[in-house]
Amino acid sequence: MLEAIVQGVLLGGYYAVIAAGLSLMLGVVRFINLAHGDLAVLGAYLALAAIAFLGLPVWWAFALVLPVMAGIGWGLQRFLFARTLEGGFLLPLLATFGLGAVLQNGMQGIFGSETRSLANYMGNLSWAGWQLPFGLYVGVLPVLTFAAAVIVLGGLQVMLSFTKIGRAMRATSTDPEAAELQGVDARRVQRVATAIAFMLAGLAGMFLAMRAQVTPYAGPAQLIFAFQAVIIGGIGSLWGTLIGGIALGVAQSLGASISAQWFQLAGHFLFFVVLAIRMSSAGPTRERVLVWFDRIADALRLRTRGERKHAD
Amino acid sequence: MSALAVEAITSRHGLLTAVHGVSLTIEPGEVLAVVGANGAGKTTLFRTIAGLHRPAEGAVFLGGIDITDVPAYGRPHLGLSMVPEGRRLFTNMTVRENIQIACEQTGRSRKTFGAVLDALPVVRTLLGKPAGGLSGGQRQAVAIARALVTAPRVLLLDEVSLGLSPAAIDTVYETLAALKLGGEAAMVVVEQDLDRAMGFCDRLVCMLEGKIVLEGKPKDLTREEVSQAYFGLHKGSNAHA
Repeated sequence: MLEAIVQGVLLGGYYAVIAAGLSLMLGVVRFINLAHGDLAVLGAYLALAAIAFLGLPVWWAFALVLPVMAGIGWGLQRFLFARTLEGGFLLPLLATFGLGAVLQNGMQGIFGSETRSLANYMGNLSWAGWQLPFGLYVGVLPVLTFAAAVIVLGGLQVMLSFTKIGRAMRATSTDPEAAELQGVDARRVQRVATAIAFMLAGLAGMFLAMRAQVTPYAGPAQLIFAFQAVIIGGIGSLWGTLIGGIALGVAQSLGASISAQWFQLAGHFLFFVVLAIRMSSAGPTRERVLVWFDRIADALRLRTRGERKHAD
Repeated sequence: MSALAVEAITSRHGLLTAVHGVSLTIEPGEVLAVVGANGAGKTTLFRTIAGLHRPAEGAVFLGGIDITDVPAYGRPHLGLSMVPEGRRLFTNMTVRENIQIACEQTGRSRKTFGAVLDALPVVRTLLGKPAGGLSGGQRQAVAIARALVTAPRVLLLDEVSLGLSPAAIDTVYETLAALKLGGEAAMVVVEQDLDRAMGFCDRLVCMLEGKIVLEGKPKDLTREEVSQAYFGLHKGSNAHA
């Protein structure tokens, strides 16, 4: 049980990275990117291509893929998403749905449908680990992924709270038109946010390919996990995505300890329960649970300064 | 040279023409009040001047420069700032951050920030508070500070007193009166309260169905004349269409 919880917490780090990008786009650009999971897989395949065709070591491939993903995000926001946003909320959904299909089929056409992994290029990193007290064993890679998640979310927190572009993003997420009246180029800010979100998707995809096998059609499942982490952690709450990711990871890990089929089912069940509570009308149970969530978030100082007292 | 000139502006919302060929000029230091009933086109005119709504026809000049094609985010840099209807503060940010964002985006200095706080001492006491927790009057004061920190040559204030208590309205107008005495910046105020508008402005225009139907200095206009124009009963309406 303890082992499952620890593994679940570490798995939550991966979910937090992929969910942070989805959450950023949802908050700043204001639409759900249905291709987010496919973009994660694209990041993994780009890293594999950089290793195979350019002969780069895995960490250099990481360094190359991240700016490439950022560039793709910038370009798509500039030439596709921004235009679809002018056509209402449905058009960006359809555009990203189509983008996901294009990515899946494109990756299959270029790389084939067989499973691939970055683990082959990382020496013993994919299986190395530490033996801890109480019979616990933790892998180096899950710990690295979790540490990366904390660093990424911490970096985003610092950027959003203390930098000019971060404040512009928060202003744009609240009211893009009012932000423009203060001199903020809201469209540029949205391009920056999309670039960061794509970079995070790519990073998550590379972590995924380091710990598991990927196929061109692995994206939709990753999107579901990211979406579940965002909903469980609370939309718009940066550190909430980490809590959501951890909760999802622990639920899946505990489910898997019961039976292999329960890995995903337990996560879906937790998502359903949290969604039902959040969507239901105000009532004593919902209030108690949400207050409990808020107290944890406040105690851990998990929200940006302005939203701590006025989260809703 | 006029601080702001609007030349034959026509603005549409789809098939509906909200502003019909309106022309206006505002001199430096002047306070112009725009009055009119709901749907008269005041807010659409303001949004067009601020760059939030693209005009179908006409042009907007700021200090003699044609800014019709300058996007909304570029206009505060040039000295045109707007306090929108409903204040629209960033409620997930502190008061300090709300003002800081306008200051840093337009490249104004911390000295300007300090000068605005000196002009609006009530805002200084609110700096650390979340903007979402302020009263209506406090929000209006912060919104005005946020606009002033861009050092505007023309300040647009949309529906200044909407939703505020009488005491808060008094405070806001006292603040605006102090600003009016203090510099060359022109102010354009949209106000539904005719007495308040006539008591505050140097010149008043009344809009009806997207056109200016009455224009003049408050001392040359009677309350009845303005009221009749407001409701479309002004027989000699000199529409500036």
